Amino acid sequence: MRYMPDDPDLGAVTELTLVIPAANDHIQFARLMASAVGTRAGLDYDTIEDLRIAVSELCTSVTEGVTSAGDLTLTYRGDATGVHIVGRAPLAPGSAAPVPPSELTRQILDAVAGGHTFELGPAEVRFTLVMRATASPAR
Amino acid sequence: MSEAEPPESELFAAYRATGDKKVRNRLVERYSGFAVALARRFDHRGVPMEDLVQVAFIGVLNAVERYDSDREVNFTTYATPTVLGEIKRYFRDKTWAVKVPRGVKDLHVRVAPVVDELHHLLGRSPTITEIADRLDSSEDDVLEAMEAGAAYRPDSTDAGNQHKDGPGLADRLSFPDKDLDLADTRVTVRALMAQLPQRERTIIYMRYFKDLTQAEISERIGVSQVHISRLLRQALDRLGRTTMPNQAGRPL
Repeated sequence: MRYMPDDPDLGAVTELTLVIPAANDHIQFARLMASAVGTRAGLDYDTIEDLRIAVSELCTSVTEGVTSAGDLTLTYRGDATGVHIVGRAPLAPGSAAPVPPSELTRQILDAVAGGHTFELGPAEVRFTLVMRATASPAR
Repeated sequence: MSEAEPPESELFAAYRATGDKKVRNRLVERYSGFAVALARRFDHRGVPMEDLVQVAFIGVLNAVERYDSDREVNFTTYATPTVLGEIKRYFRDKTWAVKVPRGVKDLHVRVAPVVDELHHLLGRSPTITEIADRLDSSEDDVLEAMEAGAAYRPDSTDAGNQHKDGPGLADRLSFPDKDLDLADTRVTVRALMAQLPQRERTIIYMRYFKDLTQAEISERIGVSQVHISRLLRQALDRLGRTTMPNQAGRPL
């Protein structure tokens, strides 16, 4: 974990990176890290719950939708505005065509997240997640 | 051959026009797969799947009641936050029943007494799984709650604050927390109780941690209430002498 230089308007900024095997039974660590960063960023319990749901959805989309050639790398950034997460996993060459997130996953993410993207590139899958410190829609 | 189902928009229009519960129920049934799929997202969190599905159905029902099919948004997009909100509320109400307020820190407060209780019952430090089972919660939640508690470590409260003018983390966290004092007391009491004979320890635990009456303890242990009373007094005297050498005999 490292602390970014403080911004007087934002307070302390935390950025850290987690590398886990791209497998379902390791998503727990991604959620826990998200919870910890969210707690530090001052998110309330409901928003952290939403954050956990969103992280689960996005990570599962990687672990079940693509054949990864390596680990899933998650970068978490927390500040007074909320939590920003970027996930990346390299695609295995010649593997089956990646499956994009389902419609239900997209709806769930729309409901709980402040913002999200999921990109299937030629060599890697990448997602972003923004969870703002303000109230999220699913209450 | 079964009759073809009318389009969703027709059913919603019919329900809005007539308020016919049968139409409403047809709509809810139509989205049963959607309800089950959302409920499954919360599986393995210490709640039976059928309960979760029921809660999800309540969410769908509420969404059907409120949905305006004239809006340019399809029903499942509209209903997802409602159903998720219903499930989360269910977890929250179930987990934090009665008077405990919401928040990660609050679960931490609930974890501590359960750890104490299990410590006494098992005679060893409980596992996360045991704590989670006791709290009817998930391992994730317990770990998260413990992490939230770790944020209170006094040696870390000023870390990361390089701005002399702005409030430090200690200031931001400086709300009254009676439970921290209690945690301190718990540590002291645990250490003191470890010095008591097993039977006195059990009786103290039943009386002051489980809130049992002397009569109830007497029934459970199988000795007379008079004897329980004597053992209690003896144990309290012993504890009092240990913790307050100048005020021997003062009850805790």
